[in-house]
Parts: sequence; C-alpha cells; structure tokens
Amino acid sequence: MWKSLSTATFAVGLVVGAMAHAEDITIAVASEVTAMDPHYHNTGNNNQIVGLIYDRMLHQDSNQQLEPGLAVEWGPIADDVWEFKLREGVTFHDGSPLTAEDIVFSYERVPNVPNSPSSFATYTAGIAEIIVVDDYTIQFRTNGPYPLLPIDLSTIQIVSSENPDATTEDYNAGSASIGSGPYKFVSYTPGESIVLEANKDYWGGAPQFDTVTYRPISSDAARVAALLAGDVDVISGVPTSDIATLEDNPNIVLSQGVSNRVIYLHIDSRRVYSPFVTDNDGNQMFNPLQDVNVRKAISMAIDRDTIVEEVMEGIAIPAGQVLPEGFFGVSDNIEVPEYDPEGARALLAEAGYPDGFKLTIHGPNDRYINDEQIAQAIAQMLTRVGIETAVETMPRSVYFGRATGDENGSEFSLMLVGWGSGTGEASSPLRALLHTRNDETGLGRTNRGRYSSAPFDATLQMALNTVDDNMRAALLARATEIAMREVGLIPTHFQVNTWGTRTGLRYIPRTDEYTRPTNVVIE
Amino acid sequence: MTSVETTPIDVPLPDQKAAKPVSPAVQIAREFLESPLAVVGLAILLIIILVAVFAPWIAPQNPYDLSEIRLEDSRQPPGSQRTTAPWEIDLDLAVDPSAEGRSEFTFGEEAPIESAVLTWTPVAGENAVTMSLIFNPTLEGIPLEPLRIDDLPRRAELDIGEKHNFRSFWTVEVAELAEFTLSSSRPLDRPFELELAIKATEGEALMTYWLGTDGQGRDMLSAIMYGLRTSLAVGVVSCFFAMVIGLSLGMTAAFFGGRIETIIMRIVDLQLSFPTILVALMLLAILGSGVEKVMLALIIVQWAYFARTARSVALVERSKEYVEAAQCLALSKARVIFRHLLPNCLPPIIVVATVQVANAIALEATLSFLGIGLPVTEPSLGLLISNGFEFMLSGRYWISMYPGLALLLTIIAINLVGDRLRDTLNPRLRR
Repeated sequence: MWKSLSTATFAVGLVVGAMAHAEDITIAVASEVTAMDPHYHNTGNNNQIVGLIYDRMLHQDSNQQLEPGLAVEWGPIADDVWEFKLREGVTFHDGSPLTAEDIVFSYERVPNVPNSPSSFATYTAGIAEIIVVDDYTIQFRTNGPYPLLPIDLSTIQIVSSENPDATTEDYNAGSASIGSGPYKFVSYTPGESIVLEANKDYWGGAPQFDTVTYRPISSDAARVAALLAGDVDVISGVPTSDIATLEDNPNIVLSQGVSNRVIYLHIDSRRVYSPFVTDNDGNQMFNPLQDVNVRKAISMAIDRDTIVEEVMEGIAIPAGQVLPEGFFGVSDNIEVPEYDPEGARALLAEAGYPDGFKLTIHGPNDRYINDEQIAQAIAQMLTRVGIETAVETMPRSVYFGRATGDENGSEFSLMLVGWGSGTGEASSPLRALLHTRNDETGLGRTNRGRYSSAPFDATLQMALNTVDDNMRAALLARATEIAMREVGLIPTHFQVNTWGTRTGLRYIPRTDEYTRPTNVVIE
Repeated sequence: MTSVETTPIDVPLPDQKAAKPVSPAVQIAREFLESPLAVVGLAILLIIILVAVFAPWIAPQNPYDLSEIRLEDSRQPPGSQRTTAPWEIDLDLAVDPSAEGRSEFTFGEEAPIESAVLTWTPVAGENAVTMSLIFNPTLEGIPLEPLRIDDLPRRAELDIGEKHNFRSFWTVEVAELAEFTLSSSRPLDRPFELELAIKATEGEALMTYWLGTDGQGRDMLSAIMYGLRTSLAVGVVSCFFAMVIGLSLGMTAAFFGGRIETIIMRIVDLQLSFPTILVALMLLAILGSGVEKVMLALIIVQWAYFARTARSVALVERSKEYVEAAQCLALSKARVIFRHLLPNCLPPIIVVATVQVANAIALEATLSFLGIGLPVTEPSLGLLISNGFEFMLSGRYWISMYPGLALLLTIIAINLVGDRLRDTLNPRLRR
C-alpha cells in the first residue's frame, strides 16, 4: 500500500513537472470570450483568441501595420477591383488545403451569423462581388474605390468551407473549430479556460509554446495575485495602482504600450430634451448640449493632465483627438485642449447658462482602466465650473446596451466610453462614432451622441473613396479637425496598457490591446 | 401609558407602583450599567451617534460636495496637508538654431524667481544646439516637482534627463539646465519652441488630512463621518419600519390565530429560508440604486425576524390572565392588542431591534461593497472600504482600513449594548 502510494505520488510529481515545462504558457485575461465562433462578435476579447486558431488574408503586426498573411501579394487592378494572390500549401488543422473557396465561404458567412451582438459585416459591406480566378487567385469587385479593403479584410478570420452549416454552438463545442492558424483548438470551458495546442505545420513555422491556456480572471486584484503566486505566466490589464509595487518585484516583468483606444465622452447633442439634463431646480430644460459652446466649455473644464497624473497614476496620454500621435490619419494641428475653468465658465455664461445646469454622467465600472474613477473625476471638474454633475456607473453588461439605446437615441446624456481602432487608422473611429448615423451604410452605428455635421460627413466620405494614401491621411486628419472643432465628442485620454509576466518572459505590447502568446518573448 | 406588569401574585398591585421608590426604567438602567463592557459599548455608540448627527458641522470637509474635493490631493497618506495650489510656470524657450542667440525672461509675483536667461549656440557641423538656462536667483533649495521639457522638434533628443516611456516630455534636474545639448537626426533648420514646466511641490497648508485621502482626493476623516451618518440612518430607519411592520403582522398572527396566522407565518418562513443578502441583491437589481431603495430593500428582508419574534412573545402573553381580563371587560380588539399586549411584547423586540440595526448596517455595507446601492459620489462605509480595496496591494492601507475600523467599532458597540439589554430585559437570564 505504502509503496504504491509513494509511486503514485512520484508519478504525479513527474506529470506536474512536465506540465510546468517552459514551453507551456498560461495567460490570465480580464474578460471572457463571448463565443469561439470567429464571426460572431467583433470584440477584442474574442479576436485575440480566435485569431490564433484561424488565419486572415492579411495580418496586423504589433503596431497594426499590414503584413502578408494567407495573401502574399495584393493590389488594385482597377478603380474598383482588387486582386489577392494566396499563399500556396497552407493546410487547415485537419490536413485539408486552404483555397480560394474557403475565403469566399468565410466572407459570405460573416453577414449571416445569427444573433451577432456586433457584426463584422461592416468590413464586408463594401464588397460587391468576389471572383475566384483560380485556386490561389481571388478578385474583389467593390462598390466604388475602396482603399480600406485590405485593412478591413485583415479583421476577418478564414474558416474551413468543409463545415458549411456549422453554427456558433458548433464552434464553441469545438467540432467546427478548424482553422489554419498557429494554434489548434483543444477545449473551451466557459468561465474556466480555453486550451490551445501548437500547430507544428503552421506556414509561419511551429509556434514557441506547446500548450496555451487562457484563463478569464475578471478581478484585477485576483489576476495580479495569480501572477504573484505563479499560477499564471502572463496577465493583461495590470491595474495602475499596483504598477509601482510590481515594478520593484524581481519575479515580475512589466511591459507597457500605448493602445489605439481613446477614452472619450459622447454628448447628446441632437435631442431637444435630454434625459439627464435639468436646470438647477431639477426641472426639464432645453438641451444645452446642442450648443457647441457648451460642449466646448465642458471640454475646457476637463483637466486631462490631472486625470492622467492622478487617476491613471501617469499611465495614460492626454487626448485631443481619436487616435494617438503616429497613427494613420491623425491630425498634427490638434492640440490637447487646455484646462481653463475660467474660460469654461465664461463660455457657459455667454451661451446663456451663467449659473450652469445639472447633469448626470454615466459610465461603465468594469470595462476600461479606472473607468469609475474617471467618471467621478470628470464630475468633480464639471461641478467646479458650475455644471452640477452626478455620477452613475454600472456593469458593462447593462451599460453598453443602454448607452447605445435605440433609434430614439441613447438613454443617457453624457457618457464615458472608449473606442479602439480595429483597423489601426483614423477611419474606424470616425466612421463609427462621428458620422451621421445611417443604418443602411453601417456608418455612425455607434454614434451615441448623434453628432451630425454635413462638412464632416462629406470630408470623411471623400477620404473613404480616396485611394492615394497621403491624400487619404490628409482628408482623415481634416475630418478629425472638423469634428473636434465642433466638439462631436470629447476625448480625454489614450489608454496605455500594462502586461505583467513572470521573470524569464517578456510581453511585446500591441496597440490593439490583444494578449497573445505570439507576442511573448522567452528570455 | 398604563403598562400592565406580569408579576407574581405576592408583589404589590399596579396601583401601588407609584409608591415604589425606583421605577422599572431606572432599575433597568442601573442593572444595565453594572456591566463595564456594556458601558464602554454604550459610550462608543453615543460618540458615534453624536459624530454622525453633527457630521456636517464638525467634519473638516463636505466629502459629498464635488467642488470641495480635489483630485490633485488623491491617495495622500494620513497626516498630509491640503495646500493652496502650488505655483507653476510654463516657460516657452524659443530657439532659432541657425545662429547664436540669447533671450531673457522676467517673472512677476507668481513665483520666487525674478528672471532667467537662455543662451544657445549651434554646434558646428552637427544637427545640434547647446543651450544654457540660468535662473536668478537660482532655484536651489526650493522644493520642486521634476522639471519637464516638452515640444521638442520631431526626432530630437536631449543629452540630459530622461524621456518619458510613452509620452513626449523629458524630465530634467534644475542643475542640468546650466548646459545641455539638443541634437536631432535631421537638420535643425527651423526655429523651435521648447516648453519648460516648473512646478513647486506644494503651496501653503490649508488643512490636514488626518486619515489621508481616497482615490478622488476625499478627506477620509470627513468621508467616514458622513459614511457613518448614512450607515446609521439606513440602519435605524430601515429597522424602525421593519419593526413596525413585523410587530403588527406578528401580533396580528398571534392574536387572531387560524388561517391569518398560517398565511402570515408561512410568508415569514418563506422569506427566512432565503439568504438575506441574496434577496437584497435581487431587490436592488430590480429597484435600482439610491438611499431610499436600499432602505426599502432592507425593510423587506428584515421584517420577518420581527414578525417571528413578535408572534412567539405575543402567543405567550396572549394566554395570560390580564389579556383574558381585558377581553372580559369587552374592550375592543385594537385596544387589547395595542394597549395591553403590545407593551408587554416590547422588551424582546427591543433586543431584536438593536441586533438588527447592527445587521442592517453590515448588510448595507456589504451591498455597497458589492457596488450596488448608494451612488459612488456619496460613499457610505461599505463603498469606502470597497474603493480602498484596489489600493491594498500598493500599500495605501488607509483608504480601506479606517472605514473598516469605523464599521467594526459601530457594529461591536451596538452588539455590546444589545447583548446587555437582552440580559437585563429578560428575567430568565438574571442570576
């Protein structure tokens, strides 16, 4: 009995030893995936993981610059026709070859996924026709010039056409989870883990880790504790308040990178009455936020430097537009608005509100870094210039639905939100957040404040149809300048993300905020 | 009120009570004060109540007034000072790199510096400029934040200080400004303007944050005082209403019996079989947030305790002779219930009430800790503890710990008083 027991212990010890081998990695992320179906929900939490199992026509590198993926060559052959040459010899995890047919199948599947909370269809809407020239050549006829096609296609995962009827449930269960990416699907246990294993036949070479385990740990403190205890090797979203302490810890390595995510305020600027704006006695009043000077005053009343220094403890960048310096389509002419409480008060008085008014700011409390604290800080600053501001925060599961609202607009008046540019350039936030809402073209679908400006719309539309890169960048910058001058939204800061790894590993930050084993370096 | 005593037969009759030198209230008070622990509890409780009631007059700050709290003072340790805004100068150092140059700056009253002189010399054959910035009087000895130089030309760098990881500014020391070089990988052919920000570390002291500040710059001492106020008010008010409802229903059940009793007591059983926190969570999810909604939720989860106790006491009392006597006199049911039964049911209910106040406070703190209930800008103790929780790992213990201690003290004090009340009011426990 004794003997067998000790042998068993020894065997267990061996197994544990083997599992802790350096080539396995466990990653703790803050948010869980909503599905393993790569076309179900366009959200970073899903994309970072499904992007390992599946491959895309083009890749975005850590700075969201395009790189060859399944396509090796691409370019326009006419104003409205693009041609892509596919990489030959790529196989799916089940051994079948990946051909043009799979690409066509994937793009056709995208708009038809039922119940998608946020569809990738925005990225395929511009395609009029897909022409298969041969197994490894494919052409796209677009509705007019469509320079963003390669970027848009880089967001869509290619699935195998051998499962034509696969549902989202089949992808979650794993029976349809056959991709051609660097890692293969092993298991998905909601709330518990996602396990992937290396695809040794990957065209880009065998990946460096044999097994990758993703664990969702939503509590910041628990995630840090898991890293400190050695339960996980990499964590995303290191809370700003713990960064100073962790920097001194010899067992932890931190890495930081600017993200493409702007944190901003959407302002209800169209409706005559806004649900959370009242005069100082609490009576309904004509919506003062329609007045551009009032919006400007709010922007001037926000001390972005103090938000960055105090709330974010220095780990953020004050923002004056929708993408940080260095991204495509960013304007050089926009400065971060100066903090000027006296000026804000004067503007309010000029606009006819010398005694201010009352307002409620709404925000999530579990989505962005320090979101609840930021909402409170902004309320503090607005109250100081005479706009008495209350704060209401709620979990994101409730918040985003209410913030987006329905065709009558948002349920809120002033809301704290963030937007990460999935395409890594300025058209993504401009299209989604600031263009006049249009359900047919998919533009302005996330324009919660219903800002609407003809010059802005015209400039952006021109940019979207401009093939020349320099010209397009200039037009996007111009559109941004118009929207910022008219205060279509109020940017506060750009998020800076912090990843923590155990010593021996280092994370290369990604601007799209994804946490992927392919960005982990073994030192 | 004519309280009818439930006393053995050999004791003098009620109408002779006035002759007694000591009234029951005084007797109970005397007995209560015999326990030193209870006296300490009572003293603490009285202090807490006084602090809570007079918080708006004695707190150093109104922590709910967003215009009074300052984000700049966030996360200050206990004992730090609130100061006037420190002086701050932004110098625009305009440099034309094509030739040698010199410019002078003079300052007004805003800072303890009179003037500064900037000189620059282009370095021959390189894309670089040597600069020197001398202050009069020197800045030595004045406590300053690290100086920041921003707005460098694209791709230029300094040979002093350090560039921020991801932002555009450089931090430098005062002494280093005496001579430094800006060099670039591209020709410096255009004039540029560096921005130098000088900021004193602190202004003049205004008040002391005895217990530090939280993440929003709220004075913890004031926040705790106001938090106590909310917590006590929520506890007392919700308990009072729960008691009124529970008492009425419990006594009704005991007095009438039969189907009414069955219905009421099964509802009570049903309610008691759910964990209170779960019921409160569900109620708040439906009702939304706000002080009155928290109170309502607490009343709904608490009345059952009172109803059960009231019924059991009333059942015992109801079978006693004085109730029969009252009924024989053909007094109305309401009169019998409220004038005869009720006063005799009160002592155990008072004990339950004190314990329930403590429970209500703890429950409210739990709900706030979980982030539902009260608005974030008007934190109660639970919310203060929860806000500080995220700072624990970074060593800022005071944000969570002091409100935690306040909550602990309050609940212990109430429980000490409640325990002693139970001992004195329940004759069976008398030694």
